[in-house]
Amino acid sequence: MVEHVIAVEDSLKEGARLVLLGSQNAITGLSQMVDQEIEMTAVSARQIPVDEVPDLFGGREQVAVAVYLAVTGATEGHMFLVYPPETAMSLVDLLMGEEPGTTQELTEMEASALGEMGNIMGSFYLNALGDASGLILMPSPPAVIMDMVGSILDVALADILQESDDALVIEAVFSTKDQQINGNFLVLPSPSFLRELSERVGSE
Amino acid sequence: MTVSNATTIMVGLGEVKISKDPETVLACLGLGSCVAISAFDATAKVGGMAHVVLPASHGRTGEKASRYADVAVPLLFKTLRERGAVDSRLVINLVGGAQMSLAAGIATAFKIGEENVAAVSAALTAEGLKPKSVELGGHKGRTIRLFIESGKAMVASAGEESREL
Amino acid sequence: MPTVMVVDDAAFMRMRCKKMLVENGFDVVEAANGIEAISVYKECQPDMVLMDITMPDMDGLAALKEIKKIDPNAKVAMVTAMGQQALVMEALKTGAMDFVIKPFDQERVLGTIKKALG
Repeated sequence: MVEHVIAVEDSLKEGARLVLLGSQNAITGLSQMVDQEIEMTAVSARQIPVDEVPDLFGGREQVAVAVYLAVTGATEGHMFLVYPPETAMSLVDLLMGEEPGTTQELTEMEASALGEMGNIMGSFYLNALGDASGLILMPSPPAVIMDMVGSILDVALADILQESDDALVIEAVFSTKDQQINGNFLVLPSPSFLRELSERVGSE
Repeated sequence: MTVSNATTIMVGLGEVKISKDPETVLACLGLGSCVAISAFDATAKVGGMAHVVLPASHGRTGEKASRYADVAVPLLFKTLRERGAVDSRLVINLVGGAQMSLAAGIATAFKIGEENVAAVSAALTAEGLKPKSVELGGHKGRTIRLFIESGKAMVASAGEESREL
Repeated sequence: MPTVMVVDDAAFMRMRCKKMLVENGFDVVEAANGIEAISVYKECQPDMVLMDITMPDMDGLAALKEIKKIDPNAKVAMVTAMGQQALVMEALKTGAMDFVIKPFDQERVLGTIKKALG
C-alpha cells in the first residue's frame, strides 16, 4: 500500500499522521458493514490549492455520488465519500443484498443506505482520532448528493477559503479484492482541526 | 452553433475574467453554493464572468479578495467598462447559489448559497445594474458558459440538456 | 409480544432492524430522530428502545435523557457507530443499559434485548 505525507509543515506532521491512520479505521468500518474484505490501496495527506481539489475526482463537471458529513464537536472539518455513479449503485446492491445491476437510481431508501455507510465510515474515522487525542469529535447526519463534483465540494471549499488558500487533503483510496467496489474517502479538516490535533497528540 | 475552434477559459473559484476574443468561451463549472455572474456587451464585443465563493470580504483586500461578492462585482464591471463596455448595453446573468443538501443536521452550513445570492444581488444593485436572467437557488449544481462570439449564455445541470439563458 | 422502538435517522437502518426484530418475534415502532422518539415513547410505551446517537433535530443522548425523565425504568440501548470512550461513559451515566457499536452483529442486539426484557 502506498502511503504519503507530502508538503505538510513540521508542526502539523503529527496531526497529519494521525489523521492518515484514522482512514484505516474508516475502511474497517466499511468492511464490517458490507461483510467483505476491503483494502486501502493508497492513503495520502497533502496540502494542495483549494481549486485543485475537484481534479482529484475527475474535475468540476464530473458527475459523482458523494456522502458528505460535517465534523462537529471539539473542532470542525468536512468528510466526503466519493464514488463514480455506477460504483455507488453497485454498493447499494451489495448493502441491500440485491443482484448486481439491480439499482439504477438513487431514491430515498438507496440514498439512506449510502448515507448509513458514510455515517459508519465517518464515525469510525472520528473514533480513531477522538480516542487518540482525547477530543470529542462527532459527525453530522449524512447528506447524499449525486451531482457535479464542483458543486458537491463548493461548501467545504468555500469554508476552507475563508482561512486558507490551501486545503489539507487526506485521501484514502479503497477497493474490494475484485475491484468491483472502489472509492475515495476524503477528509478536509479546517485549519484549526489539524492544529488542535497536533497539539493534543504532541503533548500525550 | 459550432464552437469547434473555441477555447474554454475556466473561471475558477474567486476568479474574474474578461475576454474580447470571439474564439473563446468563459465558463464556471459545477456551481453549487457559488454564484457566477456573466455579463456581455454585444456592441463592444466584450464579455466577463466572476465566480463568487463567499458573500463578504470584511475589508479584506488583494488579488484573492475577488472570491467575495462585494469585491468581485465591482471589479468585474470596472474591468468591463475599462475594456469598452457600457452599462446600458450589458446583458447580465446570475447562476448558482444552490443549497446542495437537504440533510437537516447540517442545514446551517449549507446556507452559504443563499448568502451569496443576497450579497451578489445587493452588489449588483449598488452598481445600478440589473440581471436579465437568473437561475439561482434550488438543490442542483449548474455550469454556465458564455460564448464571446455571440454573447449566448448557456446553463446546464447534471443529466440535463444545456439551455440558453 | 414485546414491543421494541427503533430510533435511527437512516430509513435503511430502521428497515434492517425492523426486519430482524419481526423475524424474531417482536413488534416494532419507529422514530427518525430524538424528538419523534420521545413522542412515540409516550404514545406506545415500548418495552425496549434501540437508540442511534447521530440524528438531526435531537440526538440520541438528549433523547435518552428525556425518556429517562419520563420513565426512569426505560430500557434504552444505544446502537451507534460513534464508539468514543467519552460518549460511551456519558450514555451509561445517563442511564443507557447497553452500548452496541454499528455495524452490529444480530446476535449482539438480540442478546441485549433479551437482557433488557429479563
